[in-house]
Amino acid sequence: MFAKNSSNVNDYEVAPKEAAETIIGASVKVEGNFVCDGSMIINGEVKGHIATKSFLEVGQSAVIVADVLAENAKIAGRIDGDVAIDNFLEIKDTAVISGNIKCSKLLVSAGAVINGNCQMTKEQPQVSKKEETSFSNEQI
Amino acid sequence: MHTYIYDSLLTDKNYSAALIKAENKLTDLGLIGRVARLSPLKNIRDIVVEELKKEPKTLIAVGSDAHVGGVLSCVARSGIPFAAIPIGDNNFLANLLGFTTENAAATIARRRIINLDVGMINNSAFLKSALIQGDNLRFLIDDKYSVAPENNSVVEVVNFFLDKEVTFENNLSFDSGNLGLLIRKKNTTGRKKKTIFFDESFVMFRNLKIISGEASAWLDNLNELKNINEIKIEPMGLTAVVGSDRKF
Repeated sequence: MFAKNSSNVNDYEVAPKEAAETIIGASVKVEGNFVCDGSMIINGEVKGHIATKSFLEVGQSAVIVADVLAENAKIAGRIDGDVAIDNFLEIKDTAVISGNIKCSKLLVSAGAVINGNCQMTKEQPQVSKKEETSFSNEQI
Repeated sequence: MHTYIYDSLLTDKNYSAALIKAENKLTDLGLIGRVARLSPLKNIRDIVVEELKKEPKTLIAVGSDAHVGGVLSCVARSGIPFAAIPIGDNNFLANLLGFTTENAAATIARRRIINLDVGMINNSAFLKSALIQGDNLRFLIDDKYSVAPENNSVVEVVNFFLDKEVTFENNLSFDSGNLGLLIRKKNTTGRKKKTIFFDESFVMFRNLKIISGEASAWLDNLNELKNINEIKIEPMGLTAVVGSDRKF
């Protein structure tokens, strides 16, 4: 579940809220307007356009050449296209994204490759004064 | 009046005892009706269509699982309640609906009727699933996107799953209004050559067109249909009498 107004990024956890409606295995290729309401897990190849009103998981073996829209997403594979996430986006260390990113909350693991602009939309995670101070001290 | 469609195998002496037993039970419960017998020279669809015109109270397939599947595939969309009296071995489909050789007459007499979704392929229905075979296949899903499995994949169109049939959770059921396209890789392992499935893909749809490759389908793994080009859901397309032991 998503922690509301969390002060620590580690409090966030991206997980599908319900059963995955769509699963694309590593050996399957999909082309076209790939749209569904429920959660999606993609480990194969997708070309075209991806949209879900729910959670999207892009596995390490996934190769996506498409613009991606979702409410929440966890990306560990390759995406050539723009990524627009309404809420929380987690980018794992194996991810390679060539495109612009839009989301309201973002967690990027060290090693992830992002070639594009990143725009934060809507509310951003609130950082308490204490953490701001400690962060500043670390920088110094 | 009920109509009984007899399988051609029922002329075999091996099944005569089971058939007499079933007929006696039907007589005891007052479930008399017309009997139409299938023979190698008679097309199952022609017989079922002819009998449906007479608007029977129930259309009952009597015989093997392949026969039950064959009658079921023709009776869908008619609105006439379907039932089965399984005779012989391997009665998966009849058992799925809750019929066994022993309880069939009592189940028909109890007359618990429900409506179920069925899958339709070239005007023939399937209840549980259809195995799709062919090379270089590409499917167009709901006119939106295409899905192309690798050639050695096991491809099934599923109306509903039984318990623990697949590892992933899903929202497919006999009244969900959707079918599922399940693509898996298969491997055998161990001394007993246990089959394991991996690399699962699953999408739900209402309409699937085959846009590349020549495909055939095994309806409920019983009857083969060649040169298929479209698969679609028929919501509440089958009216069926079901037993209390139905499997879904």
